[in-house]
Amino acid sequence: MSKKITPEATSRRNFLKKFGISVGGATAVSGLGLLSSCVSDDEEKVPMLTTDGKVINGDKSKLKLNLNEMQIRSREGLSGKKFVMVIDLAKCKNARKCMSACQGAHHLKPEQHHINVLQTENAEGTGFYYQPKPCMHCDNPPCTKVCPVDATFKRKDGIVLIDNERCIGCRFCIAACPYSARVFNWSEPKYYEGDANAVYDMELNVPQKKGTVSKCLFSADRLRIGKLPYCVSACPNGTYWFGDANEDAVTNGTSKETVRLSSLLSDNGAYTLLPELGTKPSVYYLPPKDRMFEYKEGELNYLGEEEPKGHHS
Amino acid sequence: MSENKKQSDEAIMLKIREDLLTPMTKFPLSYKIWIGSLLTIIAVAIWGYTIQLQNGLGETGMRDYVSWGVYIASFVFFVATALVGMLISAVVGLVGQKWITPISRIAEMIALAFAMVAGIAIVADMGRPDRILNLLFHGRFQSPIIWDVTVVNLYIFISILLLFLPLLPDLGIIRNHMKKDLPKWQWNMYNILSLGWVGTPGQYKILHSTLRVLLILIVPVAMALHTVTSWLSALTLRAGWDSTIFGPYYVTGAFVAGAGAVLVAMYFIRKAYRLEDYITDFHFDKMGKLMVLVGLVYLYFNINEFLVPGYKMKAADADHIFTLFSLNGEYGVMFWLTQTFGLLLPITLGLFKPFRKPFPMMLIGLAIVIGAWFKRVIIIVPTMIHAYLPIQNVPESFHHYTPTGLEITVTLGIVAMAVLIISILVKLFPVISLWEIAEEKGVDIHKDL
Amino acid sequence: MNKLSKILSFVSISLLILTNVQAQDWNITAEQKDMKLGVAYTEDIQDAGNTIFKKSCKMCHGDVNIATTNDRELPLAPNLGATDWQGANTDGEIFTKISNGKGGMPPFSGSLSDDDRWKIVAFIRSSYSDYTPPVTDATADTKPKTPKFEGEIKDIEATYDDELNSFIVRIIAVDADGHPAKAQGIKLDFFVKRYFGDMALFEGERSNEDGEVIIEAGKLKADKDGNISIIARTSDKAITSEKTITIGYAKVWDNPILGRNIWGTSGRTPLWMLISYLVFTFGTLLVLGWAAFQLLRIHNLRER
Repeated sequence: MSKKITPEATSRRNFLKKFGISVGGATAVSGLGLLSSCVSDDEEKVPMLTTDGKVINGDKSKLKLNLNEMQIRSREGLSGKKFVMVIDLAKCKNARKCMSACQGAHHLKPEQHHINVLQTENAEGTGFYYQPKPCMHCDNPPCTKVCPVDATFKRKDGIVLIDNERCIGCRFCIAACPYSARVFNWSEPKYYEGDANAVYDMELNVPQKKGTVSKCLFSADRLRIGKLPYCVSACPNGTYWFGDANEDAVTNGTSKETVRLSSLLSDNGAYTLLPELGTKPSVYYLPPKDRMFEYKEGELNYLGEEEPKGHHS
Repeated sequence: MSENKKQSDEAIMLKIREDLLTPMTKFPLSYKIWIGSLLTIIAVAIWGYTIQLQNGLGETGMRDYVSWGVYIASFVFFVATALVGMLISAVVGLVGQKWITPISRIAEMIALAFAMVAGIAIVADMGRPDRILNLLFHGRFQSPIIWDVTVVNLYIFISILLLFLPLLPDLGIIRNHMKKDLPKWQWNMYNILSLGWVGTPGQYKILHSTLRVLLILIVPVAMALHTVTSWLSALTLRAGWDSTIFGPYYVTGAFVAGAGAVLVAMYFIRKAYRLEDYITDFHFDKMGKLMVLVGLVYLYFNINEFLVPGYKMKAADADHIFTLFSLNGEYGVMFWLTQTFGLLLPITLGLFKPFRKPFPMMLIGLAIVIGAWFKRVIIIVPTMIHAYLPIQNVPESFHHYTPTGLEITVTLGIVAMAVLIISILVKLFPVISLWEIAEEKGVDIHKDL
Repeated sequence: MNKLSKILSFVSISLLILTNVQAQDWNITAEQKDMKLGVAYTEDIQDAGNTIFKKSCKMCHGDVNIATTNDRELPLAPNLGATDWQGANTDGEIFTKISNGKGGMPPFSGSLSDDDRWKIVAFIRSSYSDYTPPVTDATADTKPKTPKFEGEIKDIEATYDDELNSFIVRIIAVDADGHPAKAQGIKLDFFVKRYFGDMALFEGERSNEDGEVIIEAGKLKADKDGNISIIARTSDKAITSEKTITIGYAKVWDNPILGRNIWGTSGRTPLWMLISYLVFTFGTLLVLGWAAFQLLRIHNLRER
């Protein structure tokens, strides 16, 4: 309605961003002559971004190969990494920059939350606080257990991804997740017209697809290029730490300070959410002690349209 | 063999053929209206489904928290009802209960019809039905859905065989006696399907031994079918589903639902085909007793399922129990109505002989079937309303679940499809096994009847 | 109508946030403004202030970089090294601002003691060359404990000592006469390179009389070849040394994804599960096939 981001611009940007990285590989394959015969018909040129940041005109047909290549790469994950997030509840003031950055990056509707800032309290009378809740990227994930088609799976770097090119929309994973971390595209997703020609990036889960599940991806596309997730870098309050458990280091999204994960966790008495369920989350919480900000009742809540109705208005 | 005996056999067979085969050749107006209205419902449902296909599952009342609704509940209900084939044919039949003979084919037909539409309910619930073949190409052996899909198909195959095998002698009879009463194509069909049945002792021997193997095989497959269906819920961590007795809870519940469905079908088929001589008050009485028996077993599992968490009141379980048990809870009224009319009253009334007459039994059966459907809704939906973490920052509609008109239409369409399949089966094939009835009446069946 | 009300509520809430951040005033009294620095202005105190700053302030204000004016925008908090800001605020004002907070900045009077807050002021002031500390009795201590190194720093060398499980960062320097010398009292930083940023093992640590800083590695994690990349530098960033040091043994990370798990992909189904599934499915199919074969046998018996 009022502030619709031009889909063209968005999709073009994503398209360049995503495809650029793997142009090199595609060229190498066609260089081997494997495809030179079959791509000749489709001479349409489209702009692509090379690894060193130059825009070139490439064969559109090569992009189709890239989808397959990217699917393989995305299922593989980053070697030797084990990504973890630490959320310092004392720092969260419900600014919701994480939520908007996330929804923007993943083309989500206002009611679709890959990360959701909850207002919660541990037991009655113990005081409310703000609790950002992404996907826990469990090491014993109940969601990937039940998927009938390997559409959701855990990568070797610990990230639980969803392949919306394969998802059949049975929503068993939504039923299985105790953290309510998964969302479904009940109708045509946001920007579906603008995203129509974009090639699917599993690590960004864009374009979103009607009838498939979507979830927090730890911004796997950003991690691949050594950047912090969208939510982590958007936070103005230093709430998020993100890093690699194998390096025993996490970096603060706001101050960019890097500290030892083990010390951060043990010094603050960190905990995980619903540990009794045995899901072994990769997301840790630091207790909301000495909160930096007061809890205000009835603050910002859902501002989206009342119903995710109407496929396109 | 004496000439006397032969003549009396002929007379008995003539009456049996007259009683059981004549309805197959008649298409009264009521039957046509019945089929017509079923087809209309199905057509409307297909229209509704195309809208859902076009616009997505947002056309239903399901949202991110309650992400399974009446489709899945109906699926569970269909699978439950389909289990009656195993209850009647195998469990009761194998232990040597002879009274089951005139009912077993009806039960098999119900089982086959409901098992077939169960798959349709699942497809209706899928966000991407166009990708259904992914189940084949990318099937994941750890997923209960794959087990369920496998075992539903196995069950359908067994049900077809269990329906078809005892039909062979009957098809032979039809082939021998009905050539002039039937359209040519139909007679040809029976001719082919009868596989050249002539009733030699050798053929009977094979028939009996194969049937026996299949009746044994259907027990584990049917148990697996409904246990796996229960695991769709029980293998998750959610309060209300996270239960170790879900398998037997579902299986016994299925027996109740199936018994109800058979009671209803018995009543209407008997009435429509004037089979009072074959399906007698005695059979309703027996079925009533069977219903009470399985009902009591199901009640026992109900008590376990609700009392145990209700005693401990773990946080999430307590929420669930409150929703169901308190009349102020979101599903309190539905829960108590369902439990009363779908289980408690049928058991209580079934204890008294006057209620085990055909008409009251039909009403009770109807209450059981409707109750069984609502019970599945109660099993599936309220659990999903209670997430472990607070439900926030989403529209009001995400907090509750109300099925939309479209969703109900599609569901009714699937039910209509099951009823349609049964209606067609009972018209195409004799609803009661002729040769088994003949055998009971002492006719020598080891010959071409 | 409904949409309009939503837009209105959105605008009003946005305004609310903005006003919260900006329009509110610091409300500092003249009395507070005149307060004098409550701690001695010594390097030790400044260092202590730096430690507190890193914990409580840095995640919003970032590093204190000397600049003429604030170079950061919301949501980042201002750079406290801006000289115009330093000049415009008295010690008392800075102290009061830390104590009471404003809008997005929380009050620290509860979580930090008076002394700690003054130490932060002292640290902030250390980046302001025009600052004149108040004259107190403790002025005598303001002189650094160690005499300022007069020679020239040539390089920094970092090594790892296996026995001590420590890194030794050594300054290579020459004295005024050009002879090798031990540079004492030089502030050094030492980082370990990590995927998303450099992790400080120490920052602003002064070299000892041997011109070294020794820091225990603790259970520092190396990569799978046993190497880590480090950065050693002087705190004024004049000299930086980057290198890769072997500190451990190559180890294979035990990745659970490689095992057979129920949560794993279909290729990694636990064997017992796969076998159970196959035995059940194909066992049933076998019986069904047998039954179908029996139908054939019945068919074959049609002629007598």
